[in-house]
Amino acid sequence: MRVLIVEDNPKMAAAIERGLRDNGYVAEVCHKGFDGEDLAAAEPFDAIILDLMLQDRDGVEVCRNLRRRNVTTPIMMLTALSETDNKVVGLDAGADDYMTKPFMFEELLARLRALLRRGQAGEGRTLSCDDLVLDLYTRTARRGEAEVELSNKEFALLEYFMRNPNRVLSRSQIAMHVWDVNFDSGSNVIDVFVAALRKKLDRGFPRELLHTIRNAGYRFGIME
Amino acid sequence: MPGAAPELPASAPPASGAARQSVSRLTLRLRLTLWIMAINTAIVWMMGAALWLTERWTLDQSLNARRIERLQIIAAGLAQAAPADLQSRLESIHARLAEQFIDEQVQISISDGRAIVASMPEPIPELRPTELSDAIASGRPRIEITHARLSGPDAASEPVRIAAVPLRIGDAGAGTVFLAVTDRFAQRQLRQSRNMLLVIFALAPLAAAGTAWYLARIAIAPLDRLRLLASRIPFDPGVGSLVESLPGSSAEVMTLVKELDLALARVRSRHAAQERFLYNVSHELKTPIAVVMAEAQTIDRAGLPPSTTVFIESVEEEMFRLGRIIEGLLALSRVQNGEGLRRVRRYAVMDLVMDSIENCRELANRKGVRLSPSLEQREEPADDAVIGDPELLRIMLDRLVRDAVRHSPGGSVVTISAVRSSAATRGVEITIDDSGAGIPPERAAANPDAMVRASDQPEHERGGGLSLTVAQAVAQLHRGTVTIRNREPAGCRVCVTLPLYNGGAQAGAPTRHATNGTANTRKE
Repeated sequence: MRVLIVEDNPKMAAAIERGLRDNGYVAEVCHKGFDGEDLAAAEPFDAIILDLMLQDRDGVEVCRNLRRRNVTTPIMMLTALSETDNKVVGLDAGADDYMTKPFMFEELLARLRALLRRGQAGEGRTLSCDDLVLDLYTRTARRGEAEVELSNKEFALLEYFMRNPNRVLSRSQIAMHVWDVNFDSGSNVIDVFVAALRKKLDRGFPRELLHTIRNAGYRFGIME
Repeated sequence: MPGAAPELPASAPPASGAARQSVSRLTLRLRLTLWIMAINTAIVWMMGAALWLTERWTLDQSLNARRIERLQIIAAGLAQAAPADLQSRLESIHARLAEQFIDEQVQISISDGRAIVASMPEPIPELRPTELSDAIASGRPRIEITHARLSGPDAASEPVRIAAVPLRIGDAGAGTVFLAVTDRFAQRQLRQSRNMLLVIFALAPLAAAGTAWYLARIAIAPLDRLRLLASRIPFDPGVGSLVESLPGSSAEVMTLVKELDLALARVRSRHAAQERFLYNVSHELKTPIAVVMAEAQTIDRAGLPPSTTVFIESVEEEMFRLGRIIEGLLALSRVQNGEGLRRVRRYAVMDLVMDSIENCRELANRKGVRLSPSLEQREEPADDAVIGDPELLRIMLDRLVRDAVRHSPGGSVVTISAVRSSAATRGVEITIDDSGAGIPPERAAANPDAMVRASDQPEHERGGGLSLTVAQAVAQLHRGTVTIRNREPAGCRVCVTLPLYNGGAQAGAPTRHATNGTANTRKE
């Protein structure tokens, strides 16, 4: 797995690079925003770790430009600023995840794994099933003419479902892919989130998209 | 719960402004209205009373003058009559008068100064010829009003206006001629005027109240506009100068607005400086901490002596804690500045819980503590939304969960659950249960000031430290509460209560919404 680190602080970049290499990743470091953007556009990477505040330019700008240039590599934003507005701007610019410094390295690795599992957004900007369209850039969902308001977690859950249409997904699969954790067998978290998602997606529509498969999990798609 | 420890009111309700300040219960508009109404009503009542008295006096004078004038004409006619003809003359005069005074009863009488000598019809007992005759001895006619019955013993007594003028009857000598006419016309007129006046008296306060309310509104309209503008200031960068935003105001208001503009400029300047400081602290302090922490975490520990490994782990842990302390202090600073209200948006409670679990996952893994979320099925999507600053809420919950993990023994479970508190209050209760040592017994005693002193408690001690102080401040900002109590047989329960979003505005919660937000963070 090749990961590009765009970080202007050499010590920080070196530490991340070392940590990634120790965990089996091939890491490449770039200290400038312009260089990082060109490198990400020119070479195939599996993920990009991008600092928000670079010396020569804003990380959000780099992220936005990469998306404009159809670079669909998953991007993780990294910054010392923990303000929600910064996260919002970063995610709106096309980043896939956001971490604030200081962070636990295991946390970075876990999130990176989650990003890589989700795969490249490159299959397209949107995912669709029947009349439901999920826009991965603007992080909005529409069913028919109606906009479906989703929380962050519901969006991640729906994205996972839409990337695996017509497959029976077990609760533990969902937990691992969406939250990277394995909940207790007695935990109702997945059921509560799926129920909430179902209310938002299927209520008022003749064709249901989310189906419960008894003793197995859930299936997303139109049942023939 | 048997043996349940007393609950500490960790988050005291915000002190009421009325309790701290001497604020009148009556609004300015109401006070102005009451004053204007009272003054208007008093003026109307006084003018009405004066008008009524004037009308009564004028009517009195006019009637008296007319009666006397008429009686003088009659007296002139009678003066030519022989004494034997007086009664027949009075009969013919009475007949004429009866035709003229419609709806009135009339009596015409003649006295010789001692007694009535002729009358049509019978003289009334109230007629006092002696007094009136004596009174007119000076040569001036007299008139008086008395209550009498003019038409027989069965008739009701009513006001009668009696006029008396001197009379000379041939050679018989001096006498007095009386004209007694019931005063119905005057009484009717006065009654009508009085009734109309009573209606005016009754309506005057209502009309005055309406006028006063309207005038008061005009008077305080600039204040209202100023208040609305002022309420937008922290949230709307478009509100620049108040003077420019309030054109056409009166000179007095503009003087006040200019003063406020100057004060606002000073506050903005200080706030900007504070924001720059926070920004610099955030970036300049957290970056080197992150570097040290990342280096400590990624250093190759193979072949290192155990003491060095322990040292590196300690550096790593302390750096992380330092980062969290800075984050907590910055959060506290933001809350105390009221800055949290600038980033308010609708946020899902379930996301809040899951975010905190994700953020504390690695720490829990290290400690061998299992994080167990427990959520509640909801009927409507709105049942899961709170209004607030997601970052502050996340920091609050992260710190509480992290504390619970830190104080829990390996192999134990920390449960984080979110349930609606009650349909009536429309709140959500987020509880964090751990199996740690719990809060010290002395802090478990009911102590309303427990949270106030929380910042003085050692960080390592459960129920103290920065986390609960931050939680208290954030919860209060969101009109919520934080409580902490020990669990049986071991552990601690922290309960955060937040009001739920109710479709329009969160009950009692900050209502300013940010204008931006992630697409999947529901916007207002």
